[in-house]
Amino acid sequence: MKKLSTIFAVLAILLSDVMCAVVAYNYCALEWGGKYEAWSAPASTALLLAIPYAIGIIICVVLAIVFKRKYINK
Amino acid sequence: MALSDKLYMLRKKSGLSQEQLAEQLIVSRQAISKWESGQSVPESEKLIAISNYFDVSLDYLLKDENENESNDNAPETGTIQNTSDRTNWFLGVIICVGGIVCLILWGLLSIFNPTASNQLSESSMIQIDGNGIFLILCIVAIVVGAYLLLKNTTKK
Repeated sequence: MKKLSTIFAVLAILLSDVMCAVVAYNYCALEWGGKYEAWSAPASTALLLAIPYAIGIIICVVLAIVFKRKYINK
Repeated sequence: MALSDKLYMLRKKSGLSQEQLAEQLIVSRQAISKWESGQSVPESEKLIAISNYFDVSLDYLLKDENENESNDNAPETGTIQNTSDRTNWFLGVIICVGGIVCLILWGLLSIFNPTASNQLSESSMIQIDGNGIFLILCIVAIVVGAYLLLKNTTKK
């Protein structure tokens, strides 16, 4: 239980790191495209990519808390 | 079947009335009536007399058959249930962690190798592009995995 709790906590941190990187990268790409390539999508569209990561982070945090509680209660 | 039902059944099979059986066992008719209705239980001496008279074992009279059957099956069912729970639990861990890892890999791939990400988008024939479908699949895997995990963890 302790191992699983740690694994999910680490995965939540990894997901948040990757989310920041992906959103930032796509935001820059869309902004650049809007300026020089006449792309129609606004740069803020990149924020939509945060949704799946946010769901993943929430689930990981919940699982980490549940397993930690189970471990403490044992 | 309870002792009272067995007594009633044995008496009826033998074609005896309550009075006749009472005479044979040297007890009152009321005692037989109380045994058969489950209001009282025969003493050990009378139980031996009943088993001798009807030529049945004390085990048959005292043990509840349904109870015995369910007890015999209980460990097996429990093992199957536990095995199934463990399988579901492992499946939950694998699906959930798999979905998260895929999500992380896709993020890294879209940053470090955008051509691969574009190829994934072009591989789809429907309106939501390949990347979108992949992200949805990752989320579905995480949710299903987490559901299986939580369901089987609460049972443990």
